[in-house]
Amino acid sequence: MRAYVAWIWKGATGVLLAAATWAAMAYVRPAEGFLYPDGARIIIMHVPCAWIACLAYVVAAWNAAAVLRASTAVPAKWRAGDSRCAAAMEIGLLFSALTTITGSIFSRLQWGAFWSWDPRQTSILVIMLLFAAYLVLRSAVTDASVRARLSSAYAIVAVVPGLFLIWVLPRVVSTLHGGANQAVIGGGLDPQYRLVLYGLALPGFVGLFAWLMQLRTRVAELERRWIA
Amino acid sequence: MQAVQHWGRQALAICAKDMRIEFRERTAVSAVLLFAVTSLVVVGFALSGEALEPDVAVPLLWVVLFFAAFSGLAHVFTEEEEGATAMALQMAADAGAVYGGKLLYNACLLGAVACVAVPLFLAVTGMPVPQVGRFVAVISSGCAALAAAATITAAIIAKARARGALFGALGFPVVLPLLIMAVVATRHALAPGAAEWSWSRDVGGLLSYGVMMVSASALVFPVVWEAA
Repeated sequence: MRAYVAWIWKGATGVLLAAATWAAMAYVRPAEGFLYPDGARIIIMHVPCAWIACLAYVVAAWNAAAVLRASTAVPAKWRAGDSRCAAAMEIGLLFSALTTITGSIFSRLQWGAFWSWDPRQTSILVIMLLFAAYLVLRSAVTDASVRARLSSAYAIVAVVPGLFLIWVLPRVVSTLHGGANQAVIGGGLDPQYRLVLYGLALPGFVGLFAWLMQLRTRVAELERRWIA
Repeated sequence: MQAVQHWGRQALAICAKDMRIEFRERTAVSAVLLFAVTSLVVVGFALSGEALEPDVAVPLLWVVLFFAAFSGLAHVFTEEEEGATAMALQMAADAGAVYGGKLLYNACLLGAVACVAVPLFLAVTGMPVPQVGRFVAVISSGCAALAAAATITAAIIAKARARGALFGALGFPVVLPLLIMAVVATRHALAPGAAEWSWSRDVGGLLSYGVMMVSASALVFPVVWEAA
């Protein structure tokens, strides 16, 4: 029964992502009011990548809290949380890099430069650095128990700059993303784009994140058993 | 109430101990001050007597303060690990009191450095300060928040390898949102007429970052401090 459920949600993820890619290329209309109307199609990949990077951080912080709460005397309790936290951070690094790349392409098309030091661009760059710093810290500690606790502590502390970057900074400093964010979150989005973004791309990316998490934690478990 | 008084006494005793060590050895204060003065000499040499626009001078001031802070504030925890006194301190004092004492010491050290570096910076760049009260409030709240971020980062890297390189790598993404807000707040404080100035947004934003950082740090510090 469990195997069937896994096949169903993984199959659904594949179908949703394939449909989102087709819809981004062929179904949605070129967006009005953009410098390059066809270039707006990239938001169907860019926005879910940014959301998954944030989701990865939430999942990592949740598991980091579980590691810090667990007793060090029972390795099974903190090991699972530590593996999930590290996996979420690695996937977060991947998706924040994809967000930066797709965002830079959009920025070049719409605002004339790959990088404008806009607060939103800076935010995703710093979030990417936070993911990378967490992984650098892990590589600098040899003992597994100490590594789990130090890196989890850093993941919790890094929630503070994460919150400021996502919620506070764009409201303190003027941003090029103001209109775009209003369109995506505030309901000003074209119905076609809304359908593809919320109906296909976002659930597809969430499924992909869950799948990658499952694979990465399984690999970490095998590495721990056979290599370490 | 007695527990709070006991905690406060322990924290003050740890801060006083670190200050006494610093008065004897003068390692951290020399490193931080020398870094700040050297970078100011470089700025002065580059300017060759020309006045600097506040839009350029303000980020430069915070860059000097950030690198000065990160050249010496890790010392407070690394000296306990290198001198093998961490375990004695763990037995003598509560983890929360150790964090409080170290934070207070770092805030005092950074405050002392700012008292020397900021007037020197103003003299070198010729930057006018129309509203001294607002400027002092922004610098003080920014330095307090900077000390909070540096203290927990120092506690984490003290338990890892390659501490010097790690301190910058882990600290920079944590501090960057604070630096951006500090630069914006300082620009608002220095603008003629201070039309965009807001106590709650500019000073409040920096203080709230500091309070959130202290809260998150206090939560994770016992785990970091006892990790071995």
